Amino acid sequence: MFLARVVHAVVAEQKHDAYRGKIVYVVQPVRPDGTADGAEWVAVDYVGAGIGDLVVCGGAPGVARSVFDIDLAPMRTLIMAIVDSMEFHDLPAGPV
Amino acid sequence: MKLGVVIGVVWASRKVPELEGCRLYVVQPVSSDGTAADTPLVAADPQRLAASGDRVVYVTSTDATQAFPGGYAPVNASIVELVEEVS
Amino acid sequence: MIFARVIGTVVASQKDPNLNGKKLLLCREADHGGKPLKSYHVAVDAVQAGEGNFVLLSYGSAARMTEETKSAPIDAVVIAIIDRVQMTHPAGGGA
Repeated sequence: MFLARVVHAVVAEQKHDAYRGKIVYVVQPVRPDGTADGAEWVAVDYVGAGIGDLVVCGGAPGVARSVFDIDLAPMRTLIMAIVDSMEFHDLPAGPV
Repeated sequence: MKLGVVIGVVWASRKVPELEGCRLYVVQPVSSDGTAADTPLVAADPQRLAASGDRVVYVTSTDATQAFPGGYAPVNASIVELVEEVS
Repeated sequence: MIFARVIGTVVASQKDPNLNGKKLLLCREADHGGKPLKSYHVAVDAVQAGEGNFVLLSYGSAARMTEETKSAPIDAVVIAIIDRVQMTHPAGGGA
């Protein structure tokens, strides 16, 4: 799983059947300090996230099938938690 | 899943039966602002959602096979949404 | 999936029994225009491809999802022989 910020909503009428009724967002992976870290992902929400939220994204193969209780789920990335708070002590860059 | 733009069509008359009737596209990964985000890849479009120039959402890895009937096809990327707007 | 050019075949007499009767193709990755790239792949043939063919290669667990490869311990398969790649927009985004 990875930390990300929800940055956009994806609007689509034509979609795979598994995506019907699902809310799809563009998320920007972030470091714990909130700075952007790498390329954007597209993720399916099922916890009620909104734009601007800090979230936990991820999912193993097959997880989407059980979460949404559907036979076929061509989905890799789910928004699975909305972060309320974090406590962390980041390490300096470079080899530890 | 990621955002991409369809930038090419792959024409193949001989292919495995699992891909019969399925368009194959060259997709350029993009960020939400439209800039290129990675090198282009080939994605299947089993539900015939996209055409050339369209912005799409595609899924990669094992989950890409789930876009096909029975969840069974030898593909590494599948188109799952035709994007109208990123707001 | 990736583009590749078939550059040869690999013959092996001692192999996993599930590979018996399968043709192993030596492929070199290419870009959409057929220009050779750095990596080489040994892939099972599922479409009667041969040397010189420009092909589409699938890799990883998905490679086992063909009739030809479903019980084989393989991670790369040639799934299509490409006639033509029609580029309609320049690579590099901008939509």
